[in-house]
Amino acid sequence: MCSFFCPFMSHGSVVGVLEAVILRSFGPEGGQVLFTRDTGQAMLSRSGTHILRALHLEHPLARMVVECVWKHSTVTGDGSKTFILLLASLLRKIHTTASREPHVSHSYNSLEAAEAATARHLADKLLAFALKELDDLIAMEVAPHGRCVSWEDFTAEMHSPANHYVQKLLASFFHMRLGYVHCAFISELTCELLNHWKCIDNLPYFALQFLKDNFPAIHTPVSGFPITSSRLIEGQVIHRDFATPYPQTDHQPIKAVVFTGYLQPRLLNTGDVLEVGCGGTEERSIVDFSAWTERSLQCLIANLQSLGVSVLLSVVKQSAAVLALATQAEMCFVDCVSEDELSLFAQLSGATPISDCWRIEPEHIAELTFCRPILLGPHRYENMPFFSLTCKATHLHAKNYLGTIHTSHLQTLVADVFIIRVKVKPYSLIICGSGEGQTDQYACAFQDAIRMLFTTWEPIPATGTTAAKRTVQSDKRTSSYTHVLTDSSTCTSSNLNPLHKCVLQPGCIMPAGGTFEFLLHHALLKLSHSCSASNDTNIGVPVSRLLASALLSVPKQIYSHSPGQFLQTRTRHNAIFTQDMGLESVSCKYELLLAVLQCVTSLLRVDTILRTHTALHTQSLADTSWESTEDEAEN
Amino acid sequence: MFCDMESLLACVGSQCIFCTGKELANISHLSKKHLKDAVYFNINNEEKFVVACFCKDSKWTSRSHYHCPHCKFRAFTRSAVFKKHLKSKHGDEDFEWEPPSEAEMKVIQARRERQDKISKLMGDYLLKGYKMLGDCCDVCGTILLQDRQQKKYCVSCQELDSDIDKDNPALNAQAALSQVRERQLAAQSPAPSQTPELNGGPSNGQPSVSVPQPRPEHCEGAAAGGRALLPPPAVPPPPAAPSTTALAPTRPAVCPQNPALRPVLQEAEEAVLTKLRWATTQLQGAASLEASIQLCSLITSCANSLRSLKELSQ
Repeated sequence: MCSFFCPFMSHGSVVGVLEAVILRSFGPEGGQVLFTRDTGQAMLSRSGTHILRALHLEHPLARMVVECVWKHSTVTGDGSKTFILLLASLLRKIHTTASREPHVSHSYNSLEAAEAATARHLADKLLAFALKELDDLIAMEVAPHGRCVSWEDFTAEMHSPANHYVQKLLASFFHMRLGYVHCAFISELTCELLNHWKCIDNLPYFALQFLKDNFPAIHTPVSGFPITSSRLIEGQVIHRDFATPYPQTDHQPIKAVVFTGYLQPRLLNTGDVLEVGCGGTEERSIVDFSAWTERSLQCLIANLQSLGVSVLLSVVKQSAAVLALATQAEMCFVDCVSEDELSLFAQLSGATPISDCWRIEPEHIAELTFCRPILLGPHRYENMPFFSLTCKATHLHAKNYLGTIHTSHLQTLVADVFIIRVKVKPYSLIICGSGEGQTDQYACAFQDAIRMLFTTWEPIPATGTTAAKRTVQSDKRTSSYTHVLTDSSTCTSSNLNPLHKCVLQPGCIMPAGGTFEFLLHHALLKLSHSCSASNDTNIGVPVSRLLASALLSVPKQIYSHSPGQFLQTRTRHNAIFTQDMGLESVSCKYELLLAVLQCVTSLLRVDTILRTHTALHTQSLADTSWESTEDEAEN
Repeated sequence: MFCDMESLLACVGSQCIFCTGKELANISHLSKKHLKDAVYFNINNEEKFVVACFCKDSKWTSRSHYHCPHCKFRAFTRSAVFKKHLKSKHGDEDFEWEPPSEAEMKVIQARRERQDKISKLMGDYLLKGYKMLGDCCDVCGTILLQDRQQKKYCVSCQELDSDIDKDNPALNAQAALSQVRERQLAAQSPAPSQTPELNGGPSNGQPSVSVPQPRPEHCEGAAAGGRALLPPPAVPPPPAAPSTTALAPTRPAVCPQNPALRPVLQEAEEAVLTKLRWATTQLQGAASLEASIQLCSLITSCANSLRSLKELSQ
């Protein structure tokens, strides 16, 4: 059963509907959306991703768009509403241009097909243009109007001017996301967090990447307090209670080990076959076996005691015998610790988790400064004390980070430094909010802020090979790092210091409020004039004008309440730092443009949608008579 | 496809063949609604034009479309696209892409506004918790929404005023209300209709009734007949029919009593009388409810105009 419709018209209408949904929350004057569940939970949010993902959407195009927005925001952390606005305006402009001059070079079944093909062609041209020339254009015409804040400046003192810019950038981000009231406080807190973590490495944005990847383990959400109670505390917080009573310790470095497996072999698992009494003259029974396991446990604990270990962390839940023996030996035991936290612990302390408990090497032992329980949360909740620990001396092995490094940095690391020894005092972030939904929102805002900062300071190499790689990365970046690692052919030794090769400098920020769009609009128009003047190939001319006119939709919406200000801002070309609209990052905007163009291309490739009543297997795709790829919706 | 106006006017009749609803196909209707949107082209140095229709021959039954005279199975909804097709497929070189004319611009603008309104309404519903389905409405092509009670809902059909069905009392509450009012008024009108003066209810009642303005094309004839004096009433009730037929014979009896009218008034009276006669003959032969209703309204307006003319002449 297939239901047929005219997809070209409905692209615009679907995205138009999504645009109508987010328009009211867009811009500094935008409002919040109140979500209520049938269970009575309510949440206020202004985050575009939250709003779009909360909608009930069964239309496949709408779901595709929301998926693109979500993927984009997991990379850059910002710009989901601007994404939808740009997408809608680009689709409208492409539609207008295509209906005006449909290609009649090929023979199509109908004029609708001709228009759809023209639109697809235009979108491909746009994307090609953006990938080839847009970053140069931005670097030459737009970035000079902004300011480049280098990471070294930022990592200087707390109240330096560079720090002031970063704080302003964060403040405008939080203003848009969370509202005016607490944005200053939250941005200060974020700056403090960054300052504490920045000395993790000499590489510029390594700290940001580390924070971004380990954010779930670094922060603790606590509901029931006002946001202003949020603070940083020293050490890492592990979100579990002690399984054994916590003994008092005197001041000596506390040794800890991490176990990944079970200390006492489990007796009766499903599928296990226990052969008792085989091959021996004496009769054995299960009781003997369990006695033997307990004796071996005692040996293990004695071994640990001799090594001076007093804290045991475990991924899995250990048996009662283990806990009893640990209590007897006055060791604290924490079990069921989550994987993220254990990996963070391992990275910070340099201790590898023990998989085989009979071989405990010195490298498995971590040294801690303190270890104590913390009570976080109001008394009326269950008392769930946490305990925190911190590391005095940290050895970071480069090989721990191989899985998460961009390829250009792999070069630098391998070539210059192999083992980095840095002293770092980890700090954890306690995020408080009035309700669970609010706390969750604040935590997401923090995480997005760090992602945004990471995107801002990430160097964008301008070589051709990496530009091609970016087509893979720019939309679906969640697994891009592992992608990039496997492609070792692009690793050349000439690519040593990516910072010098960048056309677009990292850390470039501009005043917000549509400045980027205006400047790029003028630059694109200039480019199209110069192209037509020099009688160049016709590729760039119509698409750059199309992009230029589509870009203006964003500032139009920002200034929708005051058209006079729109005109005023449009005519001023010089750097406008006096206007108090805040700051925004140029790299994020560039990424946004690329992501939008990719989304447009994939949307316009949809010719028809087939509704099926049974779930399709991924291998068998029904083929239809249409020329391009189809989207299949499962119903 | 037509060559000139006369052949188009040959389509004058009680039922417009180009409209989807029951339309009175008189000259004004044809020229205002259909000729305005006609697409002109040249065949063998003869200028011809194609008029938009709503027929069921093509897949577009609820949108006006043009049939290409050369390839009979093709239908186009937009005149610009049709012109392009003529140029590319049938070699009419006269039509390059030209910027849309003002009429077309208005149509495009109206369509865009309607689309924006639809998008905004749908966005509001989505935020209220409705689900956006993957289906489109059969009638208008808009994306369907589904509410919590699993009921499907089309925003443009059920909420926005459709272009055609505004005056159908079965679909529109306002039109039904105005019909009820008209019926009430017509209940007063049989009493004074027996008197030669006819200064009673209809003329006084109608201006005070606030009826919604129907589309002018619906009662073109009525509008043409009664435009100088009163806004045309919406839907006069059928019970007025026997009283108005009683009216008609009395009317000519009244007018010849004043032979000293000024020539202009006399001409106007004659025109109105002609129209009245025609309407009466049409009414006698009318088979459908809508047509009868409209003819009755025409007759009422003619009566009113005659009355006013009579007052003027006195």
